[in-house]
Amino acid sequence: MFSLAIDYVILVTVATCGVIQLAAAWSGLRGLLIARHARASYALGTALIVGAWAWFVAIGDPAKPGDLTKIEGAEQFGLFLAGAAAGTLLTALASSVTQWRAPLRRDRSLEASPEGLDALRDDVWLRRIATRFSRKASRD
Amino acid sequence: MISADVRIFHWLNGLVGRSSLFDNVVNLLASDFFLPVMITMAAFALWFVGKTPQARALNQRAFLYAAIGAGFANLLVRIVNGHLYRARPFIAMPDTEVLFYRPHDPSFPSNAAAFAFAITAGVFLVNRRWGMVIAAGAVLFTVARVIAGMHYPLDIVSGALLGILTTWVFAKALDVADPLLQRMLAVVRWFHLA
Repeated sequence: MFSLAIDYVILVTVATCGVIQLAAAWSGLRGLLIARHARASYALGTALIVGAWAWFVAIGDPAKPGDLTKIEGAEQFGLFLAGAAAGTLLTALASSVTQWRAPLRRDRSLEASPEGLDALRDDVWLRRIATRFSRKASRD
Repeated sequence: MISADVRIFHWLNGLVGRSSLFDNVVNLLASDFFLPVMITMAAFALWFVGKTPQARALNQRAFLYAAIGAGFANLLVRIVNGHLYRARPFIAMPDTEVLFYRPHDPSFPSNAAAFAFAITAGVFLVNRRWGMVIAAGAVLFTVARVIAGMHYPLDIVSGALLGILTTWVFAKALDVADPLLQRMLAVVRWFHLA
């Protein structure tokens, strides 16, 4: 559809969203789930991974015999990291939107919650970031 | 050693053309995209996996070992390729059955093997069970590359060793530079992404 490099980044971005859904559901990171329930998240994650591959294969198989189209190894790895970062950010934003009103947790103070990804067991990413920045601004 | 390498190559490459189903499966497994992406995705998933913060921190370390190892293994293959040229099997032996496009970069050592086994080693150093799953993917990928006529077995073995050793060395270096690594992770953790 686009150039192979862009198609590849889209594949990795969407598949990353799927992988994060599976991993977050498995690890109980409810704030990262786009769907509210773990079972739905497993289904969504699988659908995103399979769908991304189906799309990538459907737009043309770059590995078919005689086709010289290819992404060089180092470039492919760089594009993978870019796609994975984009997929992570996209998941954090999408889950924040879909779970914003979900009754994940009542006490929203930073002190009462764990750090890092563990804070997303019971809160959404965007709210944690917003709370963090508003706290920092009020302190400054 | 070289003659044994060519003999094993002929035996594996001789499997091509007997069944279109087999050829299609090998074509998929040897693809530049399918297994490399699945292997790297499986390693990346570890970033989010862990029932406790401690378990997740270990898994995140595995992904960092894998990613840094793979990046440097890629670089090392490029350096070796600049000094050593071994023609691809289909260039050296025109009767080779090729299931794929025909790359013209050097055959030795295999960049594909270096990458796949660098990722495998990074994960295996921390999470044996997950490492075995990824290793199965790496073996399938690299054997398929030989069957598809892209590499000699020796290219794969040397690439795999280079990938494993590179990851091991950089994993040890990361362990030494642990305070710096922890500081970097703390920044990512501040953003609730680690």
